[in-house]
Amino acid sequence: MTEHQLFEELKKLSLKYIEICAKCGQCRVICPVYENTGKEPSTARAKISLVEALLSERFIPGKRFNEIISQCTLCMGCMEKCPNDVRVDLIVAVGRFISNENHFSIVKSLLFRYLLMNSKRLGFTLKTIRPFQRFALRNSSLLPRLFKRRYIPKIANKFIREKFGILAKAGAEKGRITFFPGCLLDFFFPETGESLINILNLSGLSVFIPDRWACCGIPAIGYGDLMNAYRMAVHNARLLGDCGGDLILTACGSCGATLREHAPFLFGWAERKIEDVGKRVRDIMEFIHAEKEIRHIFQNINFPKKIFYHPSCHLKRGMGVHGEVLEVIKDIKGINLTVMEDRCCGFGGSFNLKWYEFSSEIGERRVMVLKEERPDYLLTGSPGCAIHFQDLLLKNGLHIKIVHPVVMLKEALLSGQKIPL
Amino acid sequence: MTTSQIEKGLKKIKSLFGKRALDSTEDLIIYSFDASKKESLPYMVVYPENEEEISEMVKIASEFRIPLVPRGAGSGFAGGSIAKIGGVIISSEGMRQIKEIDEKNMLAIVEPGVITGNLHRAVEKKNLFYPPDPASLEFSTIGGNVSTNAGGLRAVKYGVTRDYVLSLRVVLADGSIIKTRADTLKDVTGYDITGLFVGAEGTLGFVSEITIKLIPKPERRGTLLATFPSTENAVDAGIEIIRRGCVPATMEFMDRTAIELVRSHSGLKIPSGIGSALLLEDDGFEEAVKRSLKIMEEVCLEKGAVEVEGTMDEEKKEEMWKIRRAISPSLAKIAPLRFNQDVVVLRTKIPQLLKLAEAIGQKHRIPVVNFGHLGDGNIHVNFLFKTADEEDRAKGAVRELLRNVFEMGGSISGEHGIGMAKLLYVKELAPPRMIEIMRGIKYLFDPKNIFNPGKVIPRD
Repeated sequence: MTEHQLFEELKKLSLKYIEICAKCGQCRVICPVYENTGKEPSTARAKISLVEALLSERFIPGKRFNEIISQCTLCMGCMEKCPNDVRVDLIVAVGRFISNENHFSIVKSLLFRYLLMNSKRLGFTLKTIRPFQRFALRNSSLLPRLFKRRYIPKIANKFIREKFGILAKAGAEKGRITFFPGCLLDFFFPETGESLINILNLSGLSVFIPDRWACCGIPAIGYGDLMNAYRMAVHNARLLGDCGGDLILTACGSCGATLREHAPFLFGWAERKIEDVGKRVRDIMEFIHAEKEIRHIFQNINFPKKIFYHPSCHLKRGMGVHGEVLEVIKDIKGINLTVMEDRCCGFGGSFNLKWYEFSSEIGERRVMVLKEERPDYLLTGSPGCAIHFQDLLLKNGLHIKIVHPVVMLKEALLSGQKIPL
Repeated sequence: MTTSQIEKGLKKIKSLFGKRALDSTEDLIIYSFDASKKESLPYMVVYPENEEEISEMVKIASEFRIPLVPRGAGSGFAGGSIAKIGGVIISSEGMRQIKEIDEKNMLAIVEPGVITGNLHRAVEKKNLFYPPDPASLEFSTIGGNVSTNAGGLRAVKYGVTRDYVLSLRVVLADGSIIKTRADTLKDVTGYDITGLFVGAEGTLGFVSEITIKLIPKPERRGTLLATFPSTENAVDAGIEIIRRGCVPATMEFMDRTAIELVRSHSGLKIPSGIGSALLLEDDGFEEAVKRSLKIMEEVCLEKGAVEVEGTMDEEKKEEMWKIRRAISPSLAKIAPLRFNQDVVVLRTKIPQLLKLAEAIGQKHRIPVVNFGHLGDGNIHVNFLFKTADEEDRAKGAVRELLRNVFEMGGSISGEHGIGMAKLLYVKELAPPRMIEIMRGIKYLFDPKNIFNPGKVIPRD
């Protein structure tokens, strides 16, 4: 597949959706970007009209186009509101694809084409720069400008694969299941993966962690590098397609949504395996919810904590996983759970990198309620949201533990009192 | 005026607004359309923040004869906010302040860019109520609502936007700023100038501030869903309910096709074979709502309702509303595009209107779905289409419908406005003397035709 072929196919697909956009304007109602600017250029229909004009070659994209098309967190809120089910995510990605054509960047091709294509390579690189990162974090003047004055997650001391090898075996093995860790989980938040593995092992499931997986592709999609996103999707589909077993678990809403929804939608026509693999993907909380035996473990625990849950856009809108998470959390006795407003935190990956102030302003609106309520835990299903919230909390001088729900589950198991039967 | 003169004027306007003036191709494309699917590129978009700025700009525009097009959220169905012959879009997006909510006098002073839904929430916090609720209230602006005299679901009991506008501040075409009236409940000093601006679609001036009348927030709300074997039963029931002294806040009608569509596309549980349905709602003191629900139920059963259920329970109400709200998304499933007409007839003529719509749909081979505000006779007749060929046929169907509605003594637009979409029909159907009078009014306020040219009033 050449880049040109890919573009032509995705262009065709976009036009199908552009055609049915009624330009009604409802898309702005829960748009985090519009919430901030209050101006039409931030709306989804504005972006759609621009991509439409571009695809029909009515104008040449300039700086302003790049600016407008990059101001989207890809939260899919507009898609939830759209009466015609227009795939705004696709149209924005295609818009960025076009706007990027003229902006070849060596750093980005190194990242997408080389590092994110192979987890082993990425792990090795991160390990190499780990001492430098530690040093720079202590002397912030050494940080590149992009990373100053903001929270940067630490490269983990031990990656998931280093700790568990290729198979995390359960004591009394009843079955095996595949786990796709993804970049952020494996190299920055291994405790999420560890908690997942511990809980599954406890229930008799051995966890298989494949080698040399590629990034799920969401950063590349977000950046508009659809060619590399395609390569990643194909790589992962072949790798995971050959893994035995039935289900593939993720504990990152972004990876899950990409493997299960975005990649099959964007590239399924080119490689059937992408769709087949997508159908097997489950979020860990969704999985626990469906497995009575595992769920049962948490029903006899008391864990009196005040908990706030931020629905990650990728988990809720991308994967459609929401009620399941809440039900599993509510199984635990003593928990005081508040579900936060269902709006994007403002992270949006490349959006946060390019429009940091903007991204923070959106986030500040979400943090207000945390300032008042000061919960013990803030749970969210995507590490992207967690990074952003950590940054916001630090700036506000708040100390709230931000973790994936599965980490809280493990902590509840460890410290929670068993309810006397 | 020559192009170079226009450019000179635009330069002046640009320097007046600085960064709040946009003229990149991208921005012009973004501001070239609204929900009518018509489009035309403006010369520039500006975001004024106060009326003095607007006044300054109007003076420049008048000198250089540059058209000015007021725009709220651009969610209109008639193309009212499109720069039809070019010009500068005056976006109210920079004027978003609720300046005052006066609890004791029960009024609010707001800027035109306030989103109607936000106004609702702000006044309801103070136990006050702003009744007009157009379907677009979560994104349309109060300025846009005033300019189109927007209606909504609650119009049958509470009236339309006009009924809640006490006074306006308006920037006129010569740059002068007027306040149309005192903020008092009564004021008969001279003509009703306020009423002229409400529904004028920005052709007479730019509304820069609106004083809105508020009422106490009703204590409770009760909802009733009734299904009928035929359209006539539902209409009879609707008329009789009001005759018995119960004016429901909402009286939404859904025809057979609308219900069938929702049934097969939304996943909601609805029995099959329903001829039509009414969604009724009343609000007020608890005792009054209970009484209303009882009357509505009695009348519906008398008029042959198959099933009637009334409730004051929030969750159940939500369930009932889901059916009404599911109509638009369900329509989209069979045809993404549609001409949504907002014709109005006398209540008693609704069955005739529905039969007519059906016949026109069949004649032009276009699916037609009817639903809307039965209480005020404002029925949304939707002609659905997908392809260009179907679109042509749908246009023919619209033409025929509007002509017939006019002959029935009804109106071709109840709440969307004329804009550029229905200009031809006004020319064809409105009495010439009325058009003359409107032209005279336009000339009086805007002799150079600066404000939103080519809208509302047809040319000779």
